[in-house]
Amino acid sequence: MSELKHGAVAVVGGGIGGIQATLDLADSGFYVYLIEEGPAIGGRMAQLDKTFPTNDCAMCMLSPKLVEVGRHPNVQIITLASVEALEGQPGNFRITLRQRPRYVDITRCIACGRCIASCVYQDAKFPSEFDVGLGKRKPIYIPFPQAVPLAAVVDPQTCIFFKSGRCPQNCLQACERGALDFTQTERLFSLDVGAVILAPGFEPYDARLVGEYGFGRYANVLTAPQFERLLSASGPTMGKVLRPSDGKAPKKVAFIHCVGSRDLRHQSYCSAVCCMYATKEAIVAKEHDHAIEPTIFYIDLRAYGKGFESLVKRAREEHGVRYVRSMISQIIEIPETKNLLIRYRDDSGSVREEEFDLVVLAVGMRPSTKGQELARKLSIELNQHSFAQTSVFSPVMSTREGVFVTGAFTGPKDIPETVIQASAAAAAVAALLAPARGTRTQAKQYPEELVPDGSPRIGVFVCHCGSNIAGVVDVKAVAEYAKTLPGVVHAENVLYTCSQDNLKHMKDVIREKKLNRVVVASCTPRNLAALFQDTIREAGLNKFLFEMVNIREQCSWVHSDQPERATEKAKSLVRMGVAKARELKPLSVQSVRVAPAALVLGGGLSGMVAALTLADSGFETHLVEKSSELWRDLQELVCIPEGEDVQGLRAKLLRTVRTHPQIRVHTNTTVKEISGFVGNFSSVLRGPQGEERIQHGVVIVATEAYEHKPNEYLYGADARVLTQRELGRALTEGPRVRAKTIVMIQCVERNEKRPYCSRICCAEAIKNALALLQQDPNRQIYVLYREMISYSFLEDLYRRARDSGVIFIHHDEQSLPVVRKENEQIVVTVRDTRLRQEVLIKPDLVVLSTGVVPDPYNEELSRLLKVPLDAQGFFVEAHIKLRPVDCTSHGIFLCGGSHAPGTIPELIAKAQAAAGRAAIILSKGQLEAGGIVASVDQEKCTACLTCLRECPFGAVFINEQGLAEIEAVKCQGCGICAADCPAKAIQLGQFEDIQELRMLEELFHPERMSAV
Amino acid sequence: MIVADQKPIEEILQMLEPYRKVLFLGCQTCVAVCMAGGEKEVGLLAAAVRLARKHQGRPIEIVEGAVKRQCDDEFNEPWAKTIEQQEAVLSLACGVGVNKLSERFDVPILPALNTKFFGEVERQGVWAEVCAGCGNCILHLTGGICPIARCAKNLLNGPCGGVRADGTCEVAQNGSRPCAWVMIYERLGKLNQRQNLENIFGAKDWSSDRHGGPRKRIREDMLLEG
Repeated sequence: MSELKHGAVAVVGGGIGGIQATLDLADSGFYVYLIEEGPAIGGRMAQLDKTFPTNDCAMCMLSPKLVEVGRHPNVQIITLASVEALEGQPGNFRITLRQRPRYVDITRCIACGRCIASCVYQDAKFPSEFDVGLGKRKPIYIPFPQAVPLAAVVDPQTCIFFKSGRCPQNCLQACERGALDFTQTERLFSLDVGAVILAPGFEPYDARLVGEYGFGRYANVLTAPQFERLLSASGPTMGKVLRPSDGKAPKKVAFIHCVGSRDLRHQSYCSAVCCMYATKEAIVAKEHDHAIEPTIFYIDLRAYGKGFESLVKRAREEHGVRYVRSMISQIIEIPETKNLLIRYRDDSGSVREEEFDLVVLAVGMRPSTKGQELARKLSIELNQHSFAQTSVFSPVMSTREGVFVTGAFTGPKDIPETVIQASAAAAAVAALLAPARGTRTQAKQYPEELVPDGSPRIGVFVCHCGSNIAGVVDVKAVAEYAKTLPGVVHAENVLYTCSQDNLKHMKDVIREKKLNRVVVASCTPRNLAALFQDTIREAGLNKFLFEMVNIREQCSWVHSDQPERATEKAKSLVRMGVAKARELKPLSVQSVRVAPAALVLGGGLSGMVAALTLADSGFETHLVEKSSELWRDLQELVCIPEGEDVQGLRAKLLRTVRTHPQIRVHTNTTVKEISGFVGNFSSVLRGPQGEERIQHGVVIVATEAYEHKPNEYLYGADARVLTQRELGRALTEGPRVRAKTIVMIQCVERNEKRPYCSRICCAEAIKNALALLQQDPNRQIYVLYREMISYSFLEDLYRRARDSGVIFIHHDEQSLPVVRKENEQIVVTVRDTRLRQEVLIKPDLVVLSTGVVPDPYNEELSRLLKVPLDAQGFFVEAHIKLRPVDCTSHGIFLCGGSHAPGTIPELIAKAQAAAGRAAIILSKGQLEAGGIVASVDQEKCTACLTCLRECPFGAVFINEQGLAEIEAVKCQGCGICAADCPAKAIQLGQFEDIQELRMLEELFHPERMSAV
Repeated sequence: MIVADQKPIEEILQMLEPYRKVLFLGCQTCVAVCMAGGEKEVGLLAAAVRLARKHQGRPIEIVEGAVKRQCDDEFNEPWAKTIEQQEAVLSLACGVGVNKLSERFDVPILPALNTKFFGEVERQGVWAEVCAGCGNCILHLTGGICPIARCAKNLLNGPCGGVRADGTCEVAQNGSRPCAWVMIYERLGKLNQRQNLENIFGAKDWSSDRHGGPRKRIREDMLLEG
């Protein structure tokens, strides 16, 4: 292999997985080409209304990430592009792309919408891809309001000009920016990259193929992605739940699970997310319209992830969602009312018919066609279900070296699992390309900052935004008005403030007129504030001496029918912006050196994988294990997938970890003390050789979870009662299990105190049952369960067990199985919900699936690290969806069972992800601290501890004077402490009381202020 | 710490009725910590009063301020000039601060708070009375749990018949307060000091409490002469 490695990476697919991988890599010193098939990044997540299990708004979480990718100096987004070929080898690939024409120059388009308004099609008449056909769009359109890149796109399939060649092309005239270009053609080009990450995602199963539900024929049968758009405030009904047939609000809404999934006619596997999204949609529908009565028809309710169980509980108890365990074989439309008749079997076993106003089909995930094409072109293998082939021990590696796969491309999964895999893939790439880190990225150089001396000299730039603002607001009048405001020494109106020539002009004016504050009155700060801040920084101003006023979204767009009043409002907003600008202070940002080492706590599977990933990326890693051996007992740890050589994996990992020059293994060692903050932790390790102090920039908590030891069902009192792990060990290590009749009991001692699903026990029971049958096919095996959690491809294993004769008996949560002894014979009784009868079994062996519990050591670690545990003793992540392996306290990361139970591939991906996230910090060398942070006035502080208790980031500490102080590196500028300080001793930079109050005073009492 | 509650806004408005020029003076010690009268509360209350008076058509001019500790003259002194220019002062300190300002200034000093007790921070936003300041401490005998402050009847020798089966006190609604003597019993058990219960307390001498009239403490060696 050639020594040359490229420091650039191609990420294919702009959904949440691709976005996460892109940001991780771009933040750690690699240049990223983000290649997206469609006109905008965002993927499926952008179409969601809310996300389970917290029901947070999907777009509110995603949009900041879109913006971040859009303006990242080390990212180039290539839309409307597909991969044609990949040549070369890991480290040195050449990727060939085919990019379709957009017919719009995104560097010129400002998404004003004039082209769309002028289109010869007066009404939008083509189904909108974003609204899953429920909404309509024109041939020229903006994919969605938060799209990145935010620019129009022409669909040549529907555009009259392309179809007939006869079109007045009003759009060309309407565009003031000359952004439209109908001469664009398809182009083929190649890029040099060191590695490739494939994240093409999934497609929802085509519900038309499940003919018995009438989708496409019955107006009021929708798919879940469509229903998601109905719930969304930006959707076709603006968040109102309305029936397509008559636009009326439905009352009875049915959700049907497993549409296209767990069905041999369609897809044999479980789609892993539908149970939860249906529950979420039912709750959200109810929140939108209280009259709605949701009913969920399901087979197994698979609430197996973190926080899922409590969402279902809330749905049942607080929102009155009705759950009916029944497969639905047919939907009949009532022609007169377009209502839908569903026949189902109720709890008592009788068949009922019920009419619903609306039916939502919880369609599964299928491998995307473009993903399959991609696999063919890149020569990577797919599995039997046409998802990317990966191995249990390398969950994000494709079958081609240097090509990584992530997200739903590797199998059905939810957003956090996708994000974890994305970070894992990025980490693997960073390790592969470690020598090339920083070779393709550039740090920008700025002139030395001028110290703002004397009184404010404010420059105000009022933007026309073409006719977007100027068409309504009298921008010239606003600029003239700005000139009269105290402190303003320059004001002008500009056609496009954000264009390159005008940014240069802004810098010239700053220098000529010696401006020391800048106010831009234009659009939302969300997109462009950073650009303007960067510009004034180039002119030598501190970037915090900037204020932005939104006179587009907040004036011209919402008050287009009242131009005079819109102009007055724009003046008021500018007056407020100038008032704040007068009070602005430069904020300093300091560089803090990062100690380029990592501390990994826990030497199990996760800890070893995390340590190796970090070490391979070139960072010194301390691996600390409290027991005498790394990954001491693999049986204790995790469910071992069938047919995999875990012993071999363990031996290989141990060898590599032990001999890796960048890893120091500390066994029999605990942590005595951890102090410091992100980039600069200092810890004392207590080991057999005494105490040792180490400096490190990051911490990874990698403790594992363990099998719960039960107190019931004769466990410990009779040798014929085992746990699943104990059986697993007996099956692999002997002695040979002699039992003929075996009962397995699932969810043992899962109760109010331990309500969560442990995720892995069902698969473990199935695997052990199959192993028992392999030894002796004449065995009778019964599995007593509440819900079979065989999500994703585990469903195949579940089916095989049923086909092999394992008998699965469902019982209610309320009627648990009973185990007793009658004259040395073990007797198990359980009430079978399907037979509605008590079943009596006389087994030779009882095997208990007891679930997993977190390492009790977590409690001590939680205290040492000052990061919280949840009620069950698992560590709490920073954000359950998008930051699943980060802690709220920066520089601390989570993996292994410390965070949540998982299977081996899930744990490996999580460990790689945590290492990758940690490596971002280590790769920087320096961290920036300061800027918009809170600070305490020591004179006023009464040490009431309110801030200390409230800070979500652990940034507040009590100093030697006994007063509160804020660690600038840890502070995230949220402002909670400043708002709540009872002594008013805390101010947040850029949002000081005086700055905010001056704005209000200007708004309400302009006469008073002008007098000042 | 001294725990206080802000008076209802109606009562405060009524007190301020005759005045048009008032200083709102907070205290940055106990009442700031219990979120009743620190600088933040001064700002909030002043804004509310201004709005209310403006609404009544009788605007009021309010100066806002807060001192480190209103129970010390030295901290109040920098405000002397301002205070003398006011028609009244609304003190957001505890009753001690109100008294202190009244002793020093010939301007009406109005209380914005109801001073309640001295207490602990049970958790943020919750303050509890655990000491009554009776002047005669027996906490070493009761496992650090005070029956005077925490028993509704100030009982000294075990619980009364009003203790519920679940160990809560009948005086508090819906079992929200544990019986002090149940707590003492449990605690002494943990400390292996149940024998303390055999010690019978005689009738309590309440003269060290408020019942002997206002109290004063003098430490001779610390007095400044001249």
